[in-house]
Amino acid sequence: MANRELEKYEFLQRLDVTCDLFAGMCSHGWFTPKELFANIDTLFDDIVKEHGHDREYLKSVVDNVHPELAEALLKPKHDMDVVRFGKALKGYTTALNDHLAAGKPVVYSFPTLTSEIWYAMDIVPLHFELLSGLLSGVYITGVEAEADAAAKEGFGDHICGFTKGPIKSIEMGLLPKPDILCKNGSPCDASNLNYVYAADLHNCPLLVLDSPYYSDDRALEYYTENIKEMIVRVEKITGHKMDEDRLRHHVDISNRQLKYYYAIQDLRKEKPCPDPGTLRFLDFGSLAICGHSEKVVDYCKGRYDRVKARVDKGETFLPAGKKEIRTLWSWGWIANMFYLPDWLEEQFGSTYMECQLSYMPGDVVGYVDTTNIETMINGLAWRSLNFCMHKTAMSYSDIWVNDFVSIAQAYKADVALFGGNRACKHAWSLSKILSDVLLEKCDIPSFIWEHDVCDKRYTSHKATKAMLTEFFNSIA
Amino acid sequence: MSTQNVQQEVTPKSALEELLTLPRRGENPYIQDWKANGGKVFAYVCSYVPEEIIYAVKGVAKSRYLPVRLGATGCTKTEDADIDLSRCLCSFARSTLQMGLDGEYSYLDGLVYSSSCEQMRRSFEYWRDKLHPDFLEMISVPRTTDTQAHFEWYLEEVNNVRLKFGQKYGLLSNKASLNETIKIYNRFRELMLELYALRSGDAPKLTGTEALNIALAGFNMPKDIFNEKLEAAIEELKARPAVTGYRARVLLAGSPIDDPALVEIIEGTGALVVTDTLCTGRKYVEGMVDETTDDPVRAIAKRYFSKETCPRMMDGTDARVAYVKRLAKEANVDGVIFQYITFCDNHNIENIIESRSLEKDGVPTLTLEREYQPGDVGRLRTRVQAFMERINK
Repeated sequence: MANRELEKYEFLQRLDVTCDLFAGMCSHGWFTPKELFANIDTLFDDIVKEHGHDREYLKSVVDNVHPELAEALLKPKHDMDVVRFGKALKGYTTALNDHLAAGKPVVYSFPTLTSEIWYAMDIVPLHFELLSGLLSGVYITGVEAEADAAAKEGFGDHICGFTKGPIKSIEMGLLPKPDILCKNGSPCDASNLNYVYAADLHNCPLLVLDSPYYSDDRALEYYTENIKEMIVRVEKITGHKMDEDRLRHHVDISNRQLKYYYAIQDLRKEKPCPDPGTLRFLDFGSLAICGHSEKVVDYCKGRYDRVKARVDKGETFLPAGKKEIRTLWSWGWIANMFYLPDWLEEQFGSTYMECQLSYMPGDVVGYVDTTNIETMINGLAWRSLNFCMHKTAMSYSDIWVNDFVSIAQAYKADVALFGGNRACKHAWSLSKILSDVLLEKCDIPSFIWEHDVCDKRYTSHKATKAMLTEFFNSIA
Repeated sequence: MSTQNVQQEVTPKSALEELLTLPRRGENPYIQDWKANGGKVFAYVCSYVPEEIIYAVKGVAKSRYLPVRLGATGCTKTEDADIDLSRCLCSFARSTLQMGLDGEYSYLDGLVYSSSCEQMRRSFEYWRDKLHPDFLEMISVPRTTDTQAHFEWYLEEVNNVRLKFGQKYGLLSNKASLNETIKIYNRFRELMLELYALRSGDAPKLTGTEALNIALAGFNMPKDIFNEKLEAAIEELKARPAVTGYRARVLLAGSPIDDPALVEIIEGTGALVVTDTLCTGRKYVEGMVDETTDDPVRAIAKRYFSKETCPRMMDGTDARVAYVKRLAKEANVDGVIFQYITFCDNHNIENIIESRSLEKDGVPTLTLEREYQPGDVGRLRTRVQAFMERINK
């Protein structure tokens, strides 16, 4: 059945198609783009039959996919994970479609507060900055036109691509107008301003969850109160009430999902690393739809099973003869170049340890106590305070630096890559501290370079590859 | 005849002249005097740090604590700061760190930070680890002023810093000293608003450059002494002829300005900056502390929390738009010039929001992107001149 409501907004339509492409192209056993394109009509037939997409639109979307990403995702080391992610994300897009079709409130929420609270209020939220990232990574045109429109309006080059991508998207009709916006104060000014701008332009309430500068009990109590106040206001504005049983249902899902998430993180400490790095952006995507459905658990469990199987069999996905270079990504994955970790694995044996955009320490974050609504909200608040990027961005640099020294030591990293988003000021301000400390305490060199997380025109893929080639050759 | 043996009579400066030419930072005679008398000097980084909690601490004998605003006027390069903070952070944050590394703040006994914006808050760690001030604290300022819970958090943060002074130096402000300080600061605000009235009336008595120099003097002196000087300066201004020969009246908005060079560039084109919404200007002095309450710390925190907000606050957009419109109307401006320091996300986007609304109301606006150091003069001047022509002035 087609998600017709999503077709009104091209970003959502493309997201929906992306799910079906992921699930479809990787489930036929075609392991190369050549095989894929030889059978493309079969793929189109399947997708149109099952999901009702317009064939011409589907073709235009496929023509726009980064060929290197397609090549990477088709590889056996990724394929079934991509299928499961596609299905999990499809569950979300279908729920979103039904939500919009039923005229329910349009809510944009920053994903560092995972969405169980929204689901429990019968709301399916949108995360427009993540959408921006996904579209940048999958599609050649990414969100460049939207970023250019933002630049034309006067938004500086120094505004983050995660913000510049979506900031005009609603005005351009690519996304629906918001009824409510919800944002925490972290990670940065630019991300905040995306919501401030949208609230002003569309005259809708912006609910702020203030991110305190600390992670202690006092901060947790304060932040929890912020969330409770947010719930009260959403109930008042929308008439949608918090349902404790629904909340428990979704929190239970997310707890189980995270059990596998943490376990995979632990398995990455094995040598050789059993977990391919290109899937990390899908992992972050699974956090964005945290607790949504059993399909998200299936994705995480599937990931875990494959990674564990490699460990148990002593297998590696690295090319034969490639010596592993265990690589700490001390900033994070690059949205406009999702396939980069795969390229690094193939070229240099560089395996992806952890990054600031996906690392969630299980021993700190733990699981949410589902005893009652109080324990659940408290637990979700704690998780949010320690969510990737939120935790490292909202406080003193020490947190990020200390976390990554610990990771480097625990995972026995060999090198670090700080591919910093040019607009990420809170990150750039500590890039030198971090690289100095990693060298001093862990004896690992860092390669630091600048890119635009969503815009490949700033640092081209070719340039990135050339720089990384030079770095990895220099340490060989 | 040799002039060497001629005794030159030194004419004491008037209060106005003194305020207009007061040296900054360590060369400031008031700071030097303060230190010589055993006082301590603490810099604060943004207007969400309540100065009164610092100034109200009274040391033994004559020793007192003087809050001064951290500024970097005169900084021309940031080579060392760039290594640490990186070039993609705003030049104000890099300039203040550079000044610190250059020893320009050697007279400071400490700093009080706030989690104001990405750039400034991240320079905290460099001050801590490279410059090792004797006292360094952070106030975690909420991103919204929306609820009582947010205010109570801010109040607790402010009080914690106040108590830290006590723990460190064994001296704590008390109710009496706080109340006295509140009165001094409220008087300061009244006088500054009077100064604004002299700027923005039909016959302005001073230029924007002069007003900023006076404000900068106030950032670097004990407020009670500044109040006396300002009272006298205001009388001088009232007595002088109005400023004439300008082409247009403008309101200046955007990133904090603590270097008159930019205002000089603007006024060099014939514009007269008659008012502003800067946090180093009008926003700094808007709003009084309640003198009737029995809880002065709460009253002080309330004033700082509830004042006209900075765009780093995620709420208050409507109020900020209304504020700039009100001031533009009160000062009968011909146009509004927005400026922001490169890499300042907050003012970049806030300027877009405010200017869009003003333009809708028929108020012409110009937006300038600039560095903190007053370079690029030609480009800025050309842009302002073009704006003047656009508004037919």
